Amino acid sequence: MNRFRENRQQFFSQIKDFWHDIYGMEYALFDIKRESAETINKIRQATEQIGHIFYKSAPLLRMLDDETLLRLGFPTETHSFIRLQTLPVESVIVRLDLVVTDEQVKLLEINADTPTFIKETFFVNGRVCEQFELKNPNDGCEDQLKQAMLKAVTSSLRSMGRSGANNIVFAAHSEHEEDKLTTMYLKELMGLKSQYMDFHQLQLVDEPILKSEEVVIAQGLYDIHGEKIDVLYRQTYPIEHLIHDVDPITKDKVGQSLMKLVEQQQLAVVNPPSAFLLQSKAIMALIWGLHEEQHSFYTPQEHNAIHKYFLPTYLDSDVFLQQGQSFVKKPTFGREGDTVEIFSNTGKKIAEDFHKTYKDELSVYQQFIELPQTIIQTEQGPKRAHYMYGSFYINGQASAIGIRAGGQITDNGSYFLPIGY
Amino acid sequence: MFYMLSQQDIRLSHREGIFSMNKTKKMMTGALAAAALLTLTACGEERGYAEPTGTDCDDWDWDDETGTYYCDDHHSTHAGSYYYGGKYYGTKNSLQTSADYKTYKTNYKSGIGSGSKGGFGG
Repeated sequence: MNRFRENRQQFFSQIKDFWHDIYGMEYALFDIKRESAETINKIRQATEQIGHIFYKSAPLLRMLDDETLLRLGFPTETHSFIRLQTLPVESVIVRLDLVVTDEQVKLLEINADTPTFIKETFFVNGRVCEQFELKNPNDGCEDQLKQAMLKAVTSSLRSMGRSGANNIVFAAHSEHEEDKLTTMYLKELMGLKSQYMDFHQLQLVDEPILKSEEVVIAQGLYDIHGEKIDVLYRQTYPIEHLIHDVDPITKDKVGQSLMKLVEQQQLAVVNPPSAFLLQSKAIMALIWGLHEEQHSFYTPQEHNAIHKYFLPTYLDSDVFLQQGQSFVKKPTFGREGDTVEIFSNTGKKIAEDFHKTYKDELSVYQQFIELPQTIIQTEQGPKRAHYMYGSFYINGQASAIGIRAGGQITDNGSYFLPIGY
Repeated sequence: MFYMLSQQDIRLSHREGIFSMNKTKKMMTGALAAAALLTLTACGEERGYAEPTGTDCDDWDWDDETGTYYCDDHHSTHAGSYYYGGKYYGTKNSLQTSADYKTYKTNYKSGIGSGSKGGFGG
């Protein structure tokens, strides 16, 4: 074992419940990128302004007709659900993926519904900074996250008229280490009495069960002990997957029944339904379209922010082909670079992710932007890697920041590169 | 280096019909209709009434969905409450089921309709 590998393994093994290697591959780098306070401020300022544009756009999205929602990629089954606003903020935990250079900050995409990269940036980054004797740019963000979660849960309960002891369940797919440990981290950080369960342990009653004309089991979502759940924290389970959930015996669409429970205020979910409303990458095409029109829905200052931070994005590739521009084709609900393709200025495909999970989904076309590169230290030695920033927007405020380093298409095989100053 | 299309280039291209942009155009038709309605609503909205004063809530936010004020201060005794017509409602449900609010809500929707009449010609 080489010395670097030994040191890396020794360091990360001290961090409890962390996945520094995934699927036997190196994930968290025993390395740190030094940033200036100016860069951190620039990223946070961009995050606040971009987040504001999305939050301002959310009421407009809720007013769209069904046909337009379909054109933005939202399945019919989700339309009534995504029009709900159960919390004063549209999403509790949002991550913006940003390209940052000396000249500019540009938004690649927003992950409003089920962002991960949370424990890495909010917790582990600080431990790495201590090791490298640097200041942690994310200092204080963990408390900000905790307060935001507490507020989300208590507001959700109040909006349903619940008080006193409540059943709060954090759920994940336990066989997926990152999902489970991210969810467990959030549960422990929040600090309220709550339970962790696997999704398969939850049971749903979509109609009250009667015996001699009396309700013996009320409508609701139940935990493994048969207790009704008030708040379901589903940090890692996307709504576009939930709608396809079926009961293995009856084949009833239980995911859609769960969404009905939320609509009927029998259950609260966090992130809230409106988080999914912002998840479609086609929303960036809508925002860009209103910007091109210089529509008065946005103020002049907001138009400046869109011009400064957003990339031209459409539902067609025509503009880029006509103008000889390189562009990226992305599925509206794609994740981790899956199914992403890059095209040259002549329209020729020049790079693609080998996963094709979303190949039949609606795509958006976004102006291509080169990711900057840096040298990273890995167990296999130094490597040149492209990098982008994940910048969190928590309850409407800029928060923790971290780097994903890898190929031009940031995918599941990308590294976590801590930052310090 | 990547050349960025200017806004003017793109708008001209659209007008001249060089691109089909079918999916984008169809989506934007719906988006522009909603944006026009919301913009006009905002012009005539004026928030209807003033936020409550003399409470221990430091953060009364305007809630677009209900058209009322919402206390977003979790240290307050009014935390999570809605304010309308001089009364506080502990939950959204209690607000929405009150007779006062139902009357107001009807009026609120009427306001949206009347605002849009004067704006599309502009």
